[in-house]
Amino acid sequence: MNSETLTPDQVADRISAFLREQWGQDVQIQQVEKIFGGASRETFRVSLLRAGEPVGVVIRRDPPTSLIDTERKLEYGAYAAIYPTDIPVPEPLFLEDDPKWLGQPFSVMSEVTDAQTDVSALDEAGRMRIGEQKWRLLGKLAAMDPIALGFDELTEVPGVEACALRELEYWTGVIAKDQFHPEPIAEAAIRWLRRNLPAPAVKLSIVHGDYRTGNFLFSEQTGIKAVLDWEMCHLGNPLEDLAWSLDPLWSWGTPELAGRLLPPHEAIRIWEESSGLKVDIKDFFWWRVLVAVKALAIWISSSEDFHNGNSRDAILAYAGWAMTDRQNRILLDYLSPVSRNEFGSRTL
Amino acid sequence: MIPHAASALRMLAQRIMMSVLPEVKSAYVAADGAMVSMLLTALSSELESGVANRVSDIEEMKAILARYSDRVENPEELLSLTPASFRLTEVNRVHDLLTRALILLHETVEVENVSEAQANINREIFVYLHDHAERHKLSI
Repeated sequence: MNSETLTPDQVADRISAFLREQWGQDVQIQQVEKIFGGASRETFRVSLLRAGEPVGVVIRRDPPTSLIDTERKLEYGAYAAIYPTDIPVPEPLFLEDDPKWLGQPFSVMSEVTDAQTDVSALDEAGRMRIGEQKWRLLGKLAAMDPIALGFDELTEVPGVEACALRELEYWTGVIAKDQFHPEPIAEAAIRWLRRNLPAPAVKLSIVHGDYRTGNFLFSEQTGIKAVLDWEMCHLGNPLEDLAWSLDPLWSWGTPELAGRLLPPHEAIRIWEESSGLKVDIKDFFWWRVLVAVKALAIWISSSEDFHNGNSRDAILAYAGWAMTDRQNRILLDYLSPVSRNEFGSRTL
Repeated sequence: MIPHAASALRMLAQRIMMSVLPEVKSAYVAADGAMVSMLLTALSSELESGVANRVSDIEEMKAILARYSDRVENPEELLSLTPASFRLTEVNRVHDLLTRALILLHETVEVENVSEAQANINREIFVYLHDHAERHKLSI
């Protein structure tokens, strides 16, 4: 079986055989729908009958390439470790490495029903409620003991003094490897980051790695039902996730609202209250610049995947182009002595 | 007739968005099609002004490098660089060479305790970077 993208019909045939074998019960597929925007993995929503009972699952299939070079075992392991805590995530069901089923390794999770990712239709009260929950959950994640949850068996455990430089070196390397042309703004930002390394992390935390609006499912009635997309999860400085969640890129169209939900100061207040940690503004600025470079690296990488033919997914080309443009302008506004404060600002 | 490639691409993008996608039943294909349409619109804009924007960059970078040629390696060679044609690959080649030289110049003027002269060069480079970003912005 080749490893190119699969149609929903192909997934239906193959996943029913897999689930029948895993569950030892009759499985009747009712509908398979490909979900748009799963840029790191191909994602399918599957409605089925398991021994006659309706069940929904989500399949995350490794692509030949993706926006992010990730480890499926780490992602699945993170879901399994977080699932018993009070941070809601979909229930992980199976991790399958054998390509005989879907041509590529894949994971299976329970479907989270009656929930959405799009916050654009929320009124002000709804934005405040979901925003409050969003940063409260992130604070809880920051406060957790990653070793007690078994993350030391999933990923490297850096020293608190090494977190900043490790992230900087990693994302600098991605830009160096994947850039088509010299990137003068990224280079200036990387030099600034090297000259201004922050203090060690006050604690080692689980860093989700892509904690932003769009990566959690919520319902207006019951609030956030699941935090998704843990594939960039690692151990590090909790300020990294907070900075990522406040990146102006996620505030497109509503620059005064972090993640299109809450004013940044309010988000930070909730996070501090929930995590029990204090944000040092100077160090936090370093992390805000770092995550802008990280985002730039991801967009550059996605463009490279498209142009080199590793993927024909239009989202890689378009996101790579549009987001590189926006992220460059955010970095300029952060670092330039003639900042226009149009897309970002040194002060929050 | 010289084909109006940029406007043709723009019209194709509109056609996909307005005529094709409303007929599509799969939500995934509709969203993917919208992304293709947006990409075509961006390509149309790049086709129209991509070379001109790079040529403006090249002129501005050369002006900065000329003003501070005493801080630049092989300034004569750099300042004599001109695209041999308006093919995008050729314009990109020259653009890349000058950008690398600009990055090196930038690196020398942003160390701690800079002099006023260095601060001014730093400022000029950032003004250029803002202008460069504005020229190449993707209208969405």
